[in-house]
Amino acid sequence: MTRESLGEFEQLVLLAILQLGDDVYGVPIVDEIERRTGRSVAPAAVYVTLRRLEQKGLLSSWMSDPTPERGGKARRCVRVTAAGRASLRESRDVIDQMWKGLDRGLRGSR
Amino acid sequence: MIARRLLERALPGDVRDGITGDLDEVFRRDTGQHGAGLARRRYRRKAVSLACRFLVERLRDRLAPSPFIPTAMPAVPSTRGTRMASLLQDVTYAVRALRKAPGFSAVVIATLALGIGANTAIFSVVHAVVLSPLPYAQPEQLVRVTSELRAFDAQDTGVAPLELFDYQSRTDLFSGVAGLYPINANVTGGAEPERVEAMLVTWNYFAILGAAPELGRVFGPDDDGPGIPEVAVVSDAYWRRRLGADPGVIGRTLTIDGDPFVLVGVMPPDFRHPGRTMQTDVDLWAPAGYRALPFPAPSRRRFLEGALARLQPGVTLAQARERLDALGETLRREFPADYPASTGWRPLVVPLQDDVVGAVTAPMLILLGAVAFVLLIACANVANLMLTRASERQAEMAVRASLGATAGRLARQILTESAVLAVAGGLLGLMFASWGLRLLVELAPSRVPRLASVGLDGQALAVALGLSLLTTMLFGLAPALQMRRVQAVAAVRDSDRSRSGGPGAARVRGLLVAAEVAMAVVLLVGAGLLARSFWALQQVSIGFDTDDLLTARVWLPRPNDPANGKYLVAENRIAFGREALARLEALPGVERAAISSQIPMGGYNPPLFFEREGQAVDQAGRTTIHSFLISPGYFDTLGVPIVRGRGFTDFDRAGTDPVAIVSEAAVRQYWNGGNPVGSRIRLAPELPWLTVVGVAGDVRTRQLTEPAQPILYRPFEQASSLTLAFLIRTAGPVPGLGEAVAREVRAVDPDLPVYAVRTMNELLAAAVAQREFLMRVLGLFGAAAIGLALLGIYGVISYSVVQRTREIGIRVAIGARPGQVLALVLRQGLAHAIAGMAAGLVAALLLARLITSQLYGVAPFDPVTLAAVLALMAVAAGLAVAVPARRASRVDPIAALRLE
Repeated sequence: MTRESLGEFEQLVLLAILQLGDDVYGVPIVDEIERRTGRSVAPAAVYVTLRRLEQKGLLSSWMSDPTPERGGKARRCVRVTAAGRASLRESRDVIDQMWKGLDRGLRGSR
Repeated sequence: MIARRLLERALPGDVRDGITGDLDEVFRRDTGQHGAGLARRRYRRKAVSLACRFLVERLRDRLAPSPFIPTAMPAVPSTRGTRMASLLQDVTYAVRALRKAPGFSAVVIATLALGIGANTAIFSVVHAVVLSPLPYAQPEQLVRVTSELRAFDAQDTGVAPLELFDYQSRTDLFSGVAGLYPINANVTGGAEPERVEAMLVTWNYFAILGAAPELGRVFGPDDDGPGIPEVAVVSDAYWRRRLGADPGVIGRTLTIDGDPFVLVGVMPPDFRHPGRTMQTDVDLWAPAGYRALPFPAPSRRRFLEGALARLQPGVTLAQARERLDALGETLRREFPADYPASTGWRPLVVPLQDDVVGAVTAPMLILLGAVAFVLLIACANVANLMLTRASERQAEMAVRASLGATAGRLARQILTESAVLAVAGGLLGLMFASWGLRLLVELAPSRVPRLASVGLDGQALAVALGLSLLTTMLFGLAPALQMRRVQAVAAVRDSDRSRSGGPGAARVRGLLVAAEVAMAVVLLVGAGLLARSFWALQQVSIGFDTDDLLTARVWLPRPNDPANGKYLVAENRIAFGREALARLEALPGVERAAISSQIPMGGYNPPLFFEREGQAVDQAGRTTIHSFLISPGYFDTLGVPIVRGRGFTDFDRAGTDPVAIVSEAAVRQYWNGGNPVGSRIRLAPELPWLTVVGVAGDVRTRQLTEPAQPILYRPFEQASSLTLAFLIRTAGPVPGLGEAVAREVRAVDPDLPVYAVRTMNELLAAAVAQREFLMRVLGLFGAAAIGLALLGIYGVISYSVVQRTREIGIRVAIGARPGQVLALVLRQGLAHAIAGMAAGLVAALLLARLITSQLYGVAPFDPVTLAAVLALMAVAAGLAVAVPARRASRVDPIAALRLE
């Protein structure tokens, strides 16, 4: 079985979840990516990605208790699975391999 | 909230709550930080974008089994699946391409939305009010039978009980004929007495309509009786309002005009009496035989409102008319005394549908025509924009073609873009339509029938959407098809000529703009004529000061048993009137008060025949006059001048010489402008002569558009009726006066309800409400039309300026002055506008007669309106052209030439 490599945005989402730690759901993920990357992020993209990552088995999710400030709706909390972590590490390795030896040269050409 | 609903539809169940909950949370946060407006906008944007993303996602899941899903569907791609997937790709690409041209896309979508929204809203109203069949079984069989007196040009003169029986028994045209006799009735016994609108009908009324009750039963053959059998059916509205929606109400006794009626049925909420009523919807039905008391002995005196009838299956309207005419002929021969040849009496049969909606049909169709113009203008505008864009993209298309894209593939892509635009415009248009519909229903005069059943019409939406889809596709595609003939290489070279689409496309664009201008002129002329009519109506003097004047009505009951009828005795009526007036005049803020049997502009008041002493009786009965029974203070209260003789005094009462006052219009019509004071008139040979003691100024009684009618005033204490109105003049606005009036009247007689409490100005506004509505909506359309036309002119000219930048640069380089360049562009732009205005003028002259029926005090070819519209259009077009023209005059020749 060939493993699908992660897209950039998928990596951002997975990394944001890991950065946030516990009790992670849509709203803080969007905030975290915006805060760290300095770009504005479409929530729709995040939710679609979350769903896709879960379908790939890289995330697992569960519903928390409903709260009144959310119109009585529960939070859908997510956690990166072992497969997700492995996938992230693999993506990092691939990129690192490609970067090897280029750091200095690229920095110079800025 | 539309966005929210859309979102809930689009989201898959597993993530729905999580995501909507997140949105709510962020909405709350944004509201706290940035205010509700921004939060709502952000929410809406996110919801729409989420809905779109997830819809695409779901389509993708379903069509091409995603490689991401391990538990995938069978991997055999069906042909339909791949085709759909490639369509999805086209759509994705189209959306991306359109987002790169946001200005173009926004204008196209907004224009389409405006056209689609306005059309859907108007058509929905017209459909519900005018076109849709009445909500009864086989509504096409339902008719109303009435009569006309051709000699007096009087239509709808009602039906006599004996005629009713003849129509039923002497023809085989109808499966049923029911008499209609609308009355006021006082219902007492509750906390407060209430006047209700009631309808006395023959027992078969509900059977003819095919209407079933919600509770209890409707009338059956057992409810037939010669007079008024004391059973009643009430409307759902009455049941809820007065009977507390009590399901056990059947069998309860209601006291109606003093008589006990047994409540046998309650009608469903959507049942309404189809046809004219006196003031409001009918709330109570009672059976009537019209053969015995309280009705006069059956005769051929036509006091029934008309008859509701159902044609036998297979009988056409034409057959019914023909055979009823024949029956009329027979009746005239059999009863020559009842039907004098000089009156030109004839039975009339009208489809019930026309009877219900007839009065509003013309203005509604005008609106429909006007809104169709708006859609056409919108389509012309979109066509223009599509042409422009297609021309701009010829180079892109040529590159693709030379890289191997087939013409079909290119066409498909353009079609997809068009469809995306049309669908987006349609969705936004749907929102516009639902807002517009709410606005229309709010603006519409309350007398428009069937307003309650207005809802968004799917058919209308489909037609408008289809038309805009056709427009976008046609005008997006035409240049693409042309491409096959254009040398691809030339197009790639990107010369000015190929980019502007050549002289052919420029001509089409010019024509489209001219057409837009023409249609805008037509709409503006229509709106202008209506505005002038409305203004002219505002100038009509009703004959007295209408400010600070309150009107209210009281109905004195007429029980079936005359022994219970306190107010059938004139002394009791007079005593009631005197005491009520004294109490009303004592109310704080009240200056004067008067009693009258009628209120000017307050509703239908049929004229009476009369004869003048010493003059031959007009056999055709053409000497008619409107009768007002008034208290002495009437003229003072209203401020109507007595121009000759005297007004009424307290001495004009029962037992003194019967007197009368006539209006100036009566003097003009019946005394040739002479002096009527001292002459005598009577209303019937068996009634006493009345001496005319004075002449009063003219008052408009029926419609502002009619000249003042002749009026006969008689003193209330010499002649009084069961219908009473109070007219109350105050020094200024008096809050709560209506309630105070009702209280004082109840203090005199606790069983008398006061109803129809209106200020005189409200009655006047109601009289012009329909025109006001038409004028406002047409004005709105005119504004939209001129806006769209300007956008069209501006678009075409600024595009042409961009295309001709190089040419203009060369002109400037070889010595053209900025003024000359300005003139060049202005001339080109105004040429379209002028051609359009000329065409629009001709069309307006041709179409203006269609709205003649809605005009007052202005001719359909009103030079002032035409000139004003043309001037407005010219100024607007000048502005639209001036902006790009100024840009052209500032072209820097060096920069322009470097563009190549």
